[in-house]
Amino acid sequence: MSFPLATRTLDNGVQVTVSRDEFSPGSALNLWYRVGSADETPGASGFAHLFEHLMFAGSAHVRGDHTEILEALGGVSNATTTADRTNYFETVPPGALPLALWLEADRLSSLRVSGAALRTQRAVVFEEKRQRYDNQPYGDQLELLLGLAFPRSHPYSIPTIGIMSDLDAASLGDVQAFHSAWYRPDNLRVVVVSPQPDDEVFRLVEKYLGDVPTAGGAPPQPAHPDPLPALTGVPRLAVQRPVPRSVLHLLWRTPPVTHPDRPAVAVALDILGAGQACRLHHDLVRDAGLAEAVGAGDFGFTRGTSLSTLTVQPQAVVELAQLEDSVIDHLAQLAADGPTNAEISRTRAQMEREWFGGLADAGERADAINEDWANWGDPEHLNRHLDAWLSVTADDVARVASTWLNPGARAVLEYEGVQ
Amino acid sequence: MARKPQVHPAQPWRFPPVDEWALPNGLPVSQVNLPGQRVVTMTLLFDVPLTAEPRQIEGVAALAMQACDEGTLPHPGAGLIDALEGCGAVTQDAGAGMDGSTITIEAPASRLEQALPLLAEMVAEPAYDEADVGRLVESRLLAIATGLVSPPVRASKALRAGLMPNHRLGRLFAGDSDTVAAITRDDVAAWHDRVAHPARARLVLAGELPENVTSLVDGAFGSWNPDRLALPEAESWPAPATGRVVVVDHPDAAQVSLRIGTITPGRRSPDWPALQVANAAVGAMFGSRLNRVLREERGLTYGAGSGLTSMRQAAFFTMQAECRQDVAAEATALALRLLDLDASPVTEDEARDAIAYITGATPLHLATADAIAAQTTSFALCGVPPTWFDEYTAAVRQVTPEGATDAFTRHIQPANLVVALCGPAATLVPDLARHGISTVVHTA
Repeated sequence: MSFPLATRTLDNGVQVTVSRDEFSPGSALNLWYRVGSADETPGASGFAHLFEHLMFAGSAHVRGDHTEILEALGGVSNATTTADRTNYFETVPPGALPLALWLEADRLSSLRVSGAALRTQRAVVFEEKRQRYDNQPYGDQLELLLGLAFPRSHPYSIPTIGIMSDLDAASLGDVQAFHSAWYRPDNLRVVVVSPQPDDEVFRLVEKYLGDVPTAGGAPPQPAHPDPLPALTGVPRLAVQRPVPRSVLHLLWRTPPVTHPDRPAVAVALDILGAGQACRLHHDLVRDAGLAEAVGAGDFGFTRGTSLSTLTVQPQAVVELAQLEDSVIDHLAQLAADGPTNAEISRTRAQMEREWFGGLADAGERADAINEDWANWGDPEHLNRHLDAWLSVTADDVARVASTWLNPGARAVLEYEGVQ
Repeated sequence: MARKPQVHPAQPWRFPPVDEWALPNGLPVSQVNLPGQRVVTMTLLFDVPLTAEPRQIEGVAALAMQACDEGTLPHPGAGLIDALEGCGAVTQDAGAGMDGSTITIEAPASRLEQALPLLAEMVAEPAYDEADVGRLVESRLLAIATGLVSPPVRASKALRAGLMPNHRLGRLFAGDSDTVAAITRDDVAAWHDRVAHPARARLVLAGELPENVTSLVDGAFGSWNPDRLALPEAESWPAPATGRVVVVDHPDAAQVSLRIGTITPGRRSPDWPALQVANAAVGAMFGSRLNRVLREERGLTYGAGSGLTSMRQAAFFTMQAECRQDVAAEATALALRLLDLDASPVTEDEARDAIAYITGATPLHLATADAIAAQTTSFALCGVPPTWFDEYTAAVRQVTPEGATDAFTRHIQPANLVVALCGPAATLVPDLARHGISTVVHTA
């Protein structure tokens, strides 16, 4: 099964992909601007995300908040910022799609932010950081992992939310400059998943977003650091925190999402640490009773280097060192013998469910189309995306377990609970 | 710049048809065919009130569901999870609420034939191995301990305890440390024997279903015929506590967690549509009063809102916000004032926007198989038919501003609300006193 996709570029540079879904109750509009926290200047961490908040604060023809306007029409909207991009999205009843496009066109053309709005949204972001990280048990793990894997000068070394003292310096001038630099038609890709025919959607996008004046000059180039070499010497960070149980993280610098080895690294991580049938759960949680829980993941970074983790939470009296040795043994075994046929078959079946589950909602599908478009330069990649993952072989898995996930190339975060 | 476009009103959305039928053993089935939804959600629910749990082993109902994928008689040990995950399925959720226990799995539509019999095994023939149950008990105890270092979790717990101090709703659904620690393998098996009967259960299926789905269901569940034991029926609930403010002391909290709540009639009440419209004006939308004032105007919080969670007998109204320490008392006073609709009734504009939001945005949240399955499960647990949804949205369209204000003020009075805050009591208590709010401090 494949999703229908049609793509056009407007005269001002806006790129548009439309995917019809006759079953969707709403029209999903999804915009990706090619700018994220990795593009911030040193000392201005967190600015890309603060800016995203201000995109809701008003534009030339819009007073009041975008979200409020759309929800009063029965729609939902939001935005997120990552290291690599900023997205804005709304799903609205189909009859409100023209208005959603008009609103997006207006805040692409112009931003009207007051000093009071800047001060208020800065305060809101401070509370967002406290709510999501500082006031949560284990809430500083993200910051510690990034700091351990990336050198301080690297754009991925600080979480997107940023350092709050950096935000104090943000001025209205910075806000307007950021808008002029990055929020231009030729730095925008738009995806619409909607029940209307393609031609009607293209006509609406052209009418509203095509009306935005072409920007002068070329858009700024996103920061693109060279791939980092593998970690050496097993960097290790031990912290103590007031939580009831410790956590052990092993981490590796891994290939970015577009690298040909990325699917094999994902399969290797899944075989070791995903779900309850994985090796680490089977051996450490179920059989040996050494671990409370295990996990595996990748940050999905796109620029040169990503970050993968294997995570183990011990049972009450188990030492982290014992678990670390055991995880390394499991990696060595996977590198030596490769996965079984049943493991390959299971990860394929799981990936099929996760992939199509992630595309079930029109809004999430629109975002996935934009993501593949951004990463591979072709929205049609969405319809090929799963193939690369389903064609990973046992030999591929054994190879990446001894290379990208080599125990000698790990770093370790010992997050020790003390009470 | 093109002119601001007109918005064409949406066609009323209808809940997709729910095909209801039953197997000869009495198992009711609700199936919803959703073309294009390639992942199927399957929920097995047991219609059993949480009040039926023995007091000293509360949490046993949740544990009995969570342990279902740890092994079955036909697939002992890791054999079950290997088979389940091997066919691309996953346990999405397992637990217990006031009106029933549920276990939900998802599988690719192409693997339904493998996944359904496994779900049937999980609920009909769980092995409940002693080691597995013991591990899940430890896991639950760790989750409770982690909650004790989380101010938002402590505040939510204190609100329920303050509101319904001597009732099951006032205690954690999955059990607290003393009761969970007491649960044995035999307790779990005994609970399962009491509740796991097809006549007390319902199977909910949503997604792109094959034509032979009924025979697949029959093949998986048709031979499930245990003895039936009588369970006590649900008791009616006592009136909630009123008018108290509890501070849970958490000296090193980075924010103050604020919760305000009460008990209102649930979705079976004729007041429900009007209550929902009023709640949308007050707290369910980004542009609702609470968020507009506390976040957008004042910057005191990342977000403030309120919601109504319906159970069969009643609903739980809660307002929540995580606030900056030095303004938490002010935020509490402001929130209580914003919940006073006698003083400031719902306006025409607010009612219009709230109705548009509920009738427009709700379908957008029901566009996937998992959401439709969850809603269908909720209908069953609340004791309403699937046709309820369309009647509800039609009633919402008829709500007037006066009707919304009237329903809200009859059930939600600021003087009667229970307030729970978690943060440093040393500063919070005097700050609240300065706003005329007297408190009871809990340190545990």
